[in-house]
Amino acid sequence: MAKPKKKKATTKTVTADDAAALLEKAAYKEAIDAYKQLLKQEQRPEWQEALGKAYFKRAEELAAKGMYKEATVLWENRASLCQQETEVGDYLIWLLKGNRLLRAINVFTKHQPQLSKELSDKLTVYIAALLLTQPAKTQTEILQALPENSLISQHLPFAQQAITAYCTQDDNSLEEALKKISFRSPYRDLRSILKALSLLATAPEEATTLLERIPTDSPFHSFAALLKNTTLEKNDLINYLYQKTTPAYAFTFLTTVLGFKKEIIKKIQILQKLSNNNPKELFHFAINHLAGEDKALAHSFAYSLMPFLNETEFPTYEKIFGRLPFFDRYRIIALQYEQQRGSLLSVIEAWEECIESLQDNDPPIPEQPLKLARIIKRFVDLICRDEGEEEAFYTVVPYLEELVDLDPTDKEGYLKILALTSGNRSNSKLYYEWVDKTIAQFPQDKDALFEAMKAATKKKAFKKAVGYANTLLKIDPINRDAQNVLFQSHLAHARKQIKAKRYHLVRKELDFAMQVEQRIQQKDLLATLEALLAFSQEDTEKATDYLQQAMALSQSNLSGQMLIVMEAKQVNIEPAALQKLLLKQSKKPGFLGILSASNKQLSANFLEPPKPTNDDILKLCKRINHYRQNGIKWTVKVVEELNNWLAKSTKKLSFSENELIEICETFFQLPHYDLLKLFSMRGLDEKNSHFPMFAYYTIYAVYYKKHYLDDKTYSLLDYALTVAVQRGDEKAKISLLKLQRMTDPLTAFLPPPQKTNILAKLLTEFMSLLEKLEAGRATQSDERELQRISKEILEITDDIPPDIKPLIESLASEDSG
Amino acid sequence: MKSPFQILDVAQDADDETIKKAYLQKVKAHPPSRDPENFQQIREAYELIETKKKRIDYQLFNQPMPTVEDLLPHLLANMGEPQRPTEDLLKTTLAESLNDYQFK
Repeated sequence: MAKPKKKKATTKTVTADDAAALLEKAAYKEAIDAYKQLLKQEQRPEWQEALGKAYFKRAEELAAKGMYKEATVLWENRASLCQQETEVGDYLIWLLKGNRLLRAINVFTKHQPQLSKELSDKLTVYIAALLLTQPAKTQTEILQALPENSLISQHLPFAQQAITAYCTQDDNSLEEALKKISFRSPYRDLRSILKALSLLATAPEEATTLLERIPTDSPFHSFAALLKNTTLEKNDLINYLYQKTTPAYAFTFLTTVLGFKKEIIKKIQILQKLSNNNPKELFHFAINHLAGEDKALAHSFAYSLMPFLNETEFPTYEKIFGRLPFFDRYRIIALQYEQQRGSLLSVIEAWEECIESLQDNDPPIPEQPLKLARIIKRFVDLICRDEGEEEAFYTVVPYLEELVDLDPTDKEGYLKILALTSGNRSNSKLYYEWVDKTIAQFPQDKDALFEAMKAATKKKAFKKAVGYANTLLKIDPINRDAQNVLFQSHLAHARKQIKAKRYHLVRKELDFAMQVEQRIQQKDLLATLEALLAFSQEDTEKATDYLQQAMALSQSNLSGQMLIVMEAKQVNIEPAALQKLLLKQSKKPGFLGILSASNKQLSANFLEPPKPTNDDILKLCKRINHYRQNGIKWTVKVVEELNNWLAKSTKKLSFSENELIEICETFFQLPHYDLLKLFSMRGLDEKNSHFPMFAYYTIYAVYYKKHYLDDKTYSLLDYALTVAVQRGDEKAKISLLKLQRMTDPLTAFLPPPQKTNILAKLLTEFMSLLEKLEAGRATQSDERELQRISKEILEITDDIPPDIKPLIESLASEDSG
Repeated sequence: MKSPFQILDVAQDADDETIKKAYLQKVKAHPPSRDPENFQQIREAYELIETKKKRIDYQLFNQPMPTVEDLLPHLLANMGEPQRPTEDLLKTTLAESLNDYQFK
């Protein structure tokens, strides 16, 4: 087949404007072509000048890229085509950098008078230095090209003699040669350098001073700077040499001058090639390149690296350094699993081996109890981090009990037990027992006092709570929690006395509360209690006045009504009776209008409030949280009365994500599943940053309302979990995982007692190994593991669903061979 | 990286008091106003080992991974005697350093 004919490039006729535009926009290569074309048509001086400019600019561009030879050719083209021989200095530099030394000398000799003195001096020194590095033949050619009286020609032999003398350790000849190099010599800086080099071993400080004298703009400066590294501190020097950016020539020169042994140079070079501090590579470096000469160093280095490797490196380690003691081995294994984020069970098992090993010491080693306590604390933290504190309760509390037994000064351990037991209703007895133990151990500690105060309030042991609060205030006079407890305790007493109709005592308590209130800022609560006292004493006018004050201070009708209802019910007064007083008042002229215009009865206890704002709903949430936190369990019943009204009246409100989260958390904690679902569904938009958390609230509400999840909700759970993981939303991830475990038909059969978490984990591992086995991917060790897990499951529980029980039994009974 | 014991110049089995004394001496020598970088390092070292519990935690769990930088100084322990280079090496190095020179 015949070759297709090359198309002839169609050359567009260039105009002067085109060429000028190319020059203007710094397209020098194209501008050169354009002006050449124009000059073919007509020789105009301005085009010639423009061509010269384009040539020079293009040459500069190439020189900036290190293409010195190409730059010199363009400069020469300009000289011949445009008769422009300016910028000789640049041309000379490019010639020297492009290694066209002889041409450079000729140009330099011819044009030296046109150059600035500064550049001329620099070029002289540079040529002089460069000449020293040339082979003898080139040197001779260059010397012939230089004028006879040139300082370079005159001083080159002295410089050469000095270098030879220095390198051959002939210091007398060196001194002699250096004396011949005068102050005016282009080798003046070399003189300082050679002198410094000769002093390196005997007077390093003097050598440094000499090297520092070399001016920064001298061509010898880079060489002097390199030599200065020889005077660095050892660590800095070695770090400099180890840097991948250190030029190879600098590395070779320095390691030679400093007398590095070949083996050390080799080691540094190997280390340079390793990935950035990869533990496995460093470990093998220690084994292969250090252990032979310095076993102790290799040993300590490899040992410190072991926690960052995996179990497969044990044989290599032990082959060289001997068997690791049992405790060390398992400490390292535990840390390795932690590093690799391995299964929690494996980590705990390894730490438990360490504990057993410590306990086997007879006699015990020094600080044994403390070491045991710290290890227990370690895996308690890991369990809590992995499972979430609430979930970890059953596993962790017994460990914590052991921990504080071993180390009674571990306040954190006590506080952790309190934190874990306080939220668990079925363990309130345990909680109060541990509060007593904590305060007995740390009677003057702020945190312990706070916990004791909180527990006493929860138990409604107000006298005790006030006692703790007062002790705490002695240690920390501005402690707001203690002030709050004092305030709440006085109010609680006041409520008790209202019920007991001991009104003079109510007055006393309210007066005490008022003194504390200055710092607490709960005037609305105080006004409500005053109203209830007046109402109980049948002073309706005063009661109405205080009720109005309470409503106004609440700054929200909804929150105000909630306050009055909750307080009235606590002292056995019907809220409806108080409503009547307010209604009567609202019809009077001049009333502030805090109640709605309709004044319709919303429920047994509430009058219909005006259309709520976002702020109203958030204030209501705060009120609900306050009563829930104060242990008033029937708060949820009062909220139930608002359920339908809230659903309707908030339809048109638009909440921010953070507001919605605050509202959801209120109904989640209460808990009120309808309202939780109502508000959480409003956040179910994937674009929301809290989407996984809104999904969690929604699914949680559905599950607790219906006790099962349909496929659609399951899919939402899976999807939300994926999003939570992708976004690194730890809180949502842990919550959703917990929900997944809870709603999973496979694990849902498990009873709640102590071993639930372990069982759930075993089953998860069981399922994953079974999948591997079914897919034909299981190794022998997987099969052994499957058998071990099956046995363990059977040991823990009999209550296994019939569809998987036979399988687990058969796997457990299989011969391990 | 130096261990906190090395930074504070104390033995591995030093007690609270010795460590505190060493820490205060170091802080005196490297006050935060004059030598913030060293002070920070000293402070961090002290926080890691100031109590018995912290020392046990450090020894059991918190030892950092050693790096090349920890190893390099050991390599210099057996450094040889300074030597003079050959003429060739000196001239080659000079030539290379001239390549780096910028006239402007």
